[in-house]
Amino acid sequence: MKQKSWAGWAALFLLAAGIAIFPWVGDFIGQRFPTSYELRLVMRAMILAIVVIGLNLLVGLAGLVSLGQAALYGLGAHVAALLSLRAGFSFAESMVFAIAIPAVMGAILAFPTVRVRGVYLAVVTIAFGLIFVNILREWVGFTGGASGLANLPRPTMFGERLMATRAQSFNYYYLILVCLLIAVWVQYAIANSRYGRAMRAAAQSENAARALGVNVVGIRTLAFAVSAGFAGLGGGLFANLALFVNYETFTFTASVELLLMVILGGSGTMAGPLVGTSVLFTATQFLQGLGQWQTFGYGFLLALVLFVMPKGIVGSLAALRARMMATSRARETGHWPNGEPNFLNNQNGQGDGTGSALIAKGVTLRFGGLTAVNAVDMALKPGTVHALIGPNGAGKSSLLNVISGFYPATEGEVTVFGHRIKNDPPYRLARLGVARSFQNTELFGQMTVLENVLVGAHTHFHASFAETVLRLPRFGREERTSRNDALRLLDFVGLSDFADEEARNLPFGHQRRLEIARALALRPKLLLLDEPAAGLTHAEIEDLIRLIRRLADHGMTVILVEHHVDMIMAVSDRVTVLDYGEVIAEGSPAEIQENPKVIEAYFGHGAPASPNAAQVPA
Amino acid sequence: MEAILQYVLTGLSVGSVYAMIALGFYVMWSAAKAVNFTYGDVFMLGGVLTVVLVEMGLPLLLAGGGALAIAALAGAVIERVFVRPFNREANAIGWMLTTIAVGIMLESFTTITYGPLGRPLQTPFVEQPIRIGGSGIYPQELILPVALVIVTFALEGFYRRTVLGRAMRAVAFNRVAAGLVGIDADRITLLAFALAGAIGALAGFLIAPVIQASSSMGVVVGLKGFMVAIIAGIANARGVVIVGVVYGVMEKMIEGYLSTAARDAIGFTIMILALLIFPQGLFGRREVQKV
Repeated sequence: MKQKSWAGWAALFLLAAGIAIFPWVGDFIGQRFPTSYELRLVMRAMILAIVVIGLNLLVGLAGLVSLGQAALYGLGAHVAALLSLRAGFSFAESMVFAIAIPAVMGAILAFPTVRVRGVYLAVVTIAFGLIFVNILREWVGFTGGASGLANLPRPTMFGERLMATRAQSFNYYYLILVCLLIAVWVQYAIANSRYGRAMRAAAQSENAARALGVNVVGIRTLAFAVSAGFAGLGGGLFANLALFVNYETFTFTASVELLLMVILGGSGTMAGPLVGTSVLFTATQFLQGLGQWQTFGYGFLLALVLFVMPKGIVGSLAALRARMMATSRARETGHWPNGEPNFLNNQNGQGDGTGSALIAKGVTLRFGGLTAVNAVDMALKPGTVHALIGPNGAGKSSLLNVISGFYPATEGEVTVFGHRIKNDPPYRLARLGVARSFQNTELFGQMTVLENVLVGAHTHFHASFAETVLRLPRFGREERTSRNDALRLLDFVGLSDFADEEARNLPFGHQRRLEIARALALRPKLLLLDEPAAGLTHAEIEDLIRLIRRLADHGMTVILVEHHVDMIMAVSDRVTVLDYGEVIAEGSPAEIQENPKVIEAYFGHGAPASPNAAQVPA
Repeated sequence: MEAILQYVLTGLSVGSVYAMIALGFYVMWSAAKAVNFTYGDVFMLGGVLTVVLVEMGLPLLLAGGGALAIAALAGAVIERVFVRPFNREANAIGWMLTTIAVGIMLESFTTITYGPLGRPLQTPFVEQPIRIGGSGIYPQELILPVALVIVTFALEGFYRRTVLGRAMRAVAFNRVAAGLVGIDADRITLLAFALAGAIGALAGFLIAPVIQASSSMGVVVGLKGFMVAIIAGIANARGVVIVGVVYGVMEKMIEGYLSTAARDAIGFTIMILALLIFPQGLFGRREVQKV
């Protein structure tokens, strides 16, 4: 792990050094090289790489597709051009707006669409691109129409004219290089932080991300705003390089080209944008020789890349490397629960005076005409294990979904630790200390086991976005603490040896363990487990019972939805029985076992009312 | 008053095209939860292939039928080769990119072989415009709304009354459950894309005489069709048709009273705003998130 990132930084350093030396190559080989033409090509490639890095954050981390990125790029270019041409802004001033305006535009575009489906964003961004080009083309008085905006004043900074000429020591060239390196850094800083993890988590399992306290709409909007900001930065740099802008550079085809660069390099990889941009930019210079077949060539190349190496160049190489490095070393599964979960107890106070962890009053949930949960009253003492049982379709999971905020209750109210919830989204409940697992495990399959647990700790990070990007001390502190806690949690559930394995590769039982560890990383006060024993072996269930007891002994309140009767009897303090959405019995496990109503619900009328009958797993 | 009538009539005609395209998106989305992103190019094939076949000497209706068949086949091939392998996991985005790649290839290949310019398609209904006040409208344009009504009802009948149509609805509702009762969901999806191909090509065939068939006729129309489908809430066929027609009329009103140049800018902006206010679509129901 360490070694790999070291190699990456070394490669980046070599690349930067190569680019930095490039303008002076002529001095070494004694020729007039590079000419201003070649310099310009390198500068344009660097600018594109900045835009592509932004798009990579969106596509590779957040899993969203923008097909209007070229328009945001163009927006930055036009903002810079118009401000310096018409308003007399200085280079630095116009650049600030060239970044900010596309970023805001991106947030505005993203907000309505990411709430629904990813496809919508793709369509809305295409539409935005068409609107943009339409306005540029038709509003001749403002944007110059087809002839564009020409004769931009040459940019200056600190009294120096910014140009890529020998007389100016190629200062504009180096400015672009610095911007590119900043972009690479920001990309790295976001990807390796809670922000990047939350983006990937939201892309891989939206529900799990929400349950762990990730504001999915917020994090996606952020991803798009940052991505658009990079596009704007590239646009501003481009306008001041070309000193001429018109809409032809920023059409739909250009957006596809940018996307192709991301995919070709390897979306979600750190080096991908640099590789993809270099390769495709070079290829484009050749494709231009194809004349009218050029566009066809693009389409063909895009399809080819997706078929042959969907992970892109860097992604495919990384996969190859991983396969070659893969040792056949058997990973050792530790026993669980391992040790005491006392490192979790900083929040598990029982003393907030209300005396109840959770109170449900008349909670009703209807789907159309169907009443899934009907006027349920419940009260949970802190530090107890409360089982929720009932035949299939009794409304157990629905009730759990109301408590965790996934469904707003149609009627009634739920109070968690004195906080009344009404239409609170899951992420806000997570911040109140409610964590949950899912009936069908919902892990972030393509993230490592450790990263999964770190997403669980999302709500415990307080370092702002700026602190994260600048790697200020608070970020490092929180990251270290969370990492340590995560490792201890993995140790607690016996998965230490699997920390760097991708979650989807775990065997099923281990996935259950991981999901519980991830929920615990939230340091919940109330833990909701939806059929955690389903699919586990007998021995694993024994372990699970011990784990749940141990959590309760440390003051955690647990709600358990389960069919496994032996387990319920062994672990629960109280049991609530639901049937057709209504509470038909409530009491200690022993009382429930004797309750004739419960026996009837499970076995129908006229079933023998012997105590043994209820012990058959339902 | 006459101006309004003119806008409404031409709007109905354009809107019918949008509605048919949107219906095609609806059919694909229902079956696969994915679409041919550049479905506009299948629409284009309907117009262009008819022209090509007519030039080869086929009678008009036979040429149209041939174009429809080829477009249906293209729809099926696109599903099998470019959508299915890239739509295996939930939230997959690969199909978006592959179908865009196909669209780029289809369009540029058509531009190269067929030429960049539009070519006319002669039908008896574009010889003489009907005069309404100062301007005219071709009878061909009035065929489109009629065709839309027929297609809408035929599609509804197909979904409700035929075994295949019911199977398609079953797949749309729950792919796994449909598989469990013996429906070959993959084959149904393939057929849905073929059906969508035919619907798109029909729209292209019918509008070609009015606007001339060209390689670039599909891009923007396809996108507008998709926007219409999304604004309507993509899972509601009638909603999709209504929004399509309304959008067509609105466009003509914008052209007439505001500006021809800014038509798409205004139209798309309105659509984005509509999505902002109704994120589930005008006729869409809030999807219950299965947890």
